[in-house]
Amino acid sequence: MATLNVLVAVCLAYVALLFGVAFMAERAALRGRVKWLRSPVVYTLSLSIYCTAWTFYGAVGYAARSGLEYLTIYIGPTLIMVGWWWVLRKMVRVGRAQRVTSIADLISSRYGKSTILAILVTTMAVAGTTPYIALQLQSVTLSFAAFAGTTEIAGVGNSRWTALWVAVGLTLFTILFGTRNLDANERHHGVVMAIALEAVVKLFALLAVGVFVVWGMSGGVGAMLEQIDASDIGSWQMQGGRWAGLIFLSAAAFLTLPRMFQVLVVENENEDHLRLASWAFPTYLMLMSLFVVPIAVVGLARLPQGANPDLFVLTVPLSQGQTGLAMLSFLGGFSSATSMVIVAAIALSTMVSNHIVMPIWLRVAYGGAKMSGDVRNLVLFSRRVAIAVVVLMGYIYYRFSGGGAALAAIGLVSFAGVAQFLPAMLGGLFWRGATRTGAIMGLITGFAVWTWSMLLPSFGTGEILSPQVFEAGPWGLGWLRPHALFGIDGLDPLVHAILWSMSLNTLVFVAVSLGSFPSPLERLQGAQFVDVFLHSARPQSWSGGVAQSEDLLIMAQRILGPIEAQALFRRAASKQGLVGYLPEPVPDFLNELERELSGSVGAATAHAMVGQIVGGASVSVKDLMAVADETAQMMEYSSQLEIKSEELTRTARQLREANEKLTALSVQKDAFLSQISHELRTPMTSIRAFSEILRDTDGLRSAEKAKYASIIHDEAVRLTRLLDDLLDLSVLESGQVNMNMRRGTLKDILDHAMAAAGGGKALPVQRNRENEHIGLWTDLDRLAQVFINLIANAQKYCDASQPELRILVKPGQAGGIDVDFVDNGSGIPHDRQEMVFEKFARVSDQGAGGAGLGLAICREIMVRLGGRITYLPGQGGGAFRVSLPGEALTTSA
Amino acid sequence: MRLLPLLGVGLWAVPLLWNARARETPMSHAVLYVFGVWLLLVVAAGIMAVMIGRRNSDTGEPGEADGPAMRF
Repeated sequence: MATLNVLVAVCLAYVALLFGVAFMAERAALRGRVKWLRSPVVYTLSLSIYCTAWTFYGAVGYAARSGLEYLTIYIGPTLIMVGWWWVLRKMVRVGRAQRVTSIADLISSRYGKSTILAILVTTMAVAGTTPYIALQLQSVTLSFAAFAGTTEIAGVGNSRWTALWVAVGLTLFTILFGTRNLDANERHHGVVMAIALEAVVKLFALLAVGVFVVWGMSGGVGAMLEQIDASDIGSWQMQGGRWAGLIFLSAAAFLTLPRMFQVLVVENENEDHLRLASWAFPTYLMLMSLFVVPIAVVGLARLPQGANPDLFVLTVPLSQGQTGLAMLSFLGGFSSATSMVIVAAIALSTMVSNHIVMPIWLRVAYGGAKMSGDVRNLVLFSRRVAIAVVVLMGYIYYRFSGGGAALAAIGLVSFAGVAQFLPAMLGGLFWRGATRTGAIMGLITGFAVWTWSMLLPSFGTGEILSPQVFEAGPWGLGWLRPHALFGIDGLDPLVHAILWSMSLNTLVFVAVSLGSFPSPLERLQGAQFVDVFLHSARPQSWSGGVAQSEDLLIMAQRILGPIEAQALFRRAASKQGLVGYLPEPVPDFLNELERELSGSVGAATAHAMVGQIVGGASVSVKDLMAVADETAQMMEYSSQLEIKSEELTRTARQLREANEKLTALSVQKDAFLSQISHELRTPMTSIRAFSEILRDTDGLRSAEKAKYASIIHDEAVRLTRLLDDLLDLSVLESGQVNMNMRRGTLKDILDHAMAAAGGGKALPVQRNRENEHIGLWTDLDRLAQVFINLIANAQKYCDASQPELRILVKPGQAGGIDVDFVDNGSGIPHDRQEMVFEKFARVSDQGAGGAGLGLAICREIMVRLGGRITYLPGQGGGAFRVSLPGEALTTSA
Repeated sequence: MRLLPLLGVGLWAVPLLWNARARETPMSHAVLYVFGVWLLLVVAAGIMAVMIGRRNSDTGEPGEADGPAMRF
């Protein structure tokens, strides 16, 4: 029991190390040190999640039972990696160009962003992966039991608890590091770093056991080879069909397993990394399989009859009293199991949330895309729940399958299940004629054959299918026997299932594709996928023009987060030569937006969300050009004309807007002159009147004199203030002002501004003071003046029944900060937003006073301070953003 | 480059013929043969990778690399 306690301690320390590494990697990524986190070496090591506990422990058992057949599982991926130029390069390029988030996303995106296809693939992937997760849990509990010295049967009660604890731990780790944020690229630095470490641990462990067995127990290579020939598995006995079939199967599964797709394509930072991986990963696989036969042979010879060969990696060192080595090998197996479960859970949860939860939510929430509120929390929450459910399903499967032999074959069953994606995927990448209907029918056919001939029989004869079904077929239909479809008997069941499921799948896929007609969007996506190396920029598919940029901004904020969305919209606007946050909804911009969104919620959902607002997609002349080559030149000419005319229309619109603005300015100026005369005349009149009273009236009481004098004084003060403002503005505008630069903190300035504007009594103010401890080097009084003005404006103009102002401090562009003032009133109407910073502009004529100079002064001050002040649309109220440049920040407050 | 996987498939298909022989192939030979092919493929793929890296950096084709092409 002492060793068991040590084992538990070592195990916990190892888990703590993994948490630490993942945490450090996330921290480093936050600080922008992504380069070494994403080196080709890390990429290559992360691919090793292909080697699960099934290969770590199971390979030796496999070798002990069937000789060299276990090698097929490694040879398939080796061939794929060595031939990366053919398939992988294209997959990765497409994945990056289209911002693909999962294999379901890839397939649905290729076939016209089809939601049905995405749901279909997701369901199949979940069905194919759950048993595999169960297998990992089983391997950890079995190896644990081997250490505890209990037999498998006696340890069942305990092993249930072990499995449960492992499942809970894995769920926690995955949720913690797999769903930290909604990264637009779905990359998880912490997780990848942790599995790279685990890759090193499992390789080292297996090599250590191998070296011990060959040199420590058998006396070198020569003696080992002799011992191999003398053992039970000493000669080559291989069914040719199984050898070829399994190599094909493992190669297919390597490309289509959701977790492999996650590390191969989604987590890929740079296409160039494939070059190192093309030879380094096969080397890794070779080393992993190098000592499998020696371990199996020694295990068969030295351990008692009936010992579980699946655990030789562990029991051989244990039998020699090498507890340390056995512990290392336990950690290796533990690493294999955990890294697989973590990545599989992330991949599946992304698929479930993007392709099942989001579409349902979009449909249920009527007109959903335009509603306000943050949808990111929904997505993250659904992913977390999905992770827990996926791991829980694995656990339940483990509990009810009762462990044991039934699970051993599950690895291959699972491989064959996901391999059904292969025709649709490769067809989509290399054949333009492939259609959505073809893909759906092919997938359903392949999956049905797989279920009938492989999945259901895998539970054992008499469990789900009765012996009669195996003998005579269902309802006496002999040609439907699960192991002899169409009456062709005598094949190995595995080869039989692969042969029929894959060939029927491919046949139906090709036949239906040829017989059906692709939609324009499918055709476009097809051209994009197949010719990805010719034109990586993707053609447009939005008709645009009718979309409301503000609605789009509201939607994008909920998915990407306010900061990213606003940055994206501002970039797009400045690319179009516009100021502010609302770019023209041109097709280019809409496509960029859709691609960004698809990084978070998948292509199909992003397409549907933009579609809800824009009101449907159309395929333009330019798009079709990408598909039809023959009349390309003519089309190009006309499409250029079209672009030109579009540009002209846009320029005309911008000119018109500028003209309108000028006219409005002129009207404003006239209005100001009369306004200013009025403003000057009113106090002047009362000053004159009261001073005449004082001069001409005799016998005034002193109280009355004081009253009249104070009225005269007040009016004079009002006049002075007005003149001061005008003077201030003209000084600022002419640039003759000296800034009084000092140190201070943002918090103090805001406190001062709130106090000066009458505190929080008139208008409750929400602040997050923790964020405000930011040292500044700027003109504190001027900045305070801006803040006072904004707070006072909110007090005056916020028309909500319970007015409230929020002050938010966020990181801004180029290392600066943004301070947002958001109230809950009705905000500024769209057509007035451009005017508010102009001199003498007043949004409403309702009394509140002021000559309309405040915001104009604020704008000039911010320009002098190197920052700017802008109106933020789409915040559910009036919202102003004060941006301070990076130079204004100091490290010490 | 493109022929490498075909070479691999070809060489690894050879064991399928062994069954036809009268005498059984000893396991040790089989192990040595399979791993020999493996080593050959890895070395060939490694050489290819370096060559492609050179070609990319010589022609100045960045291959989407965000820095100088990595050498290994």
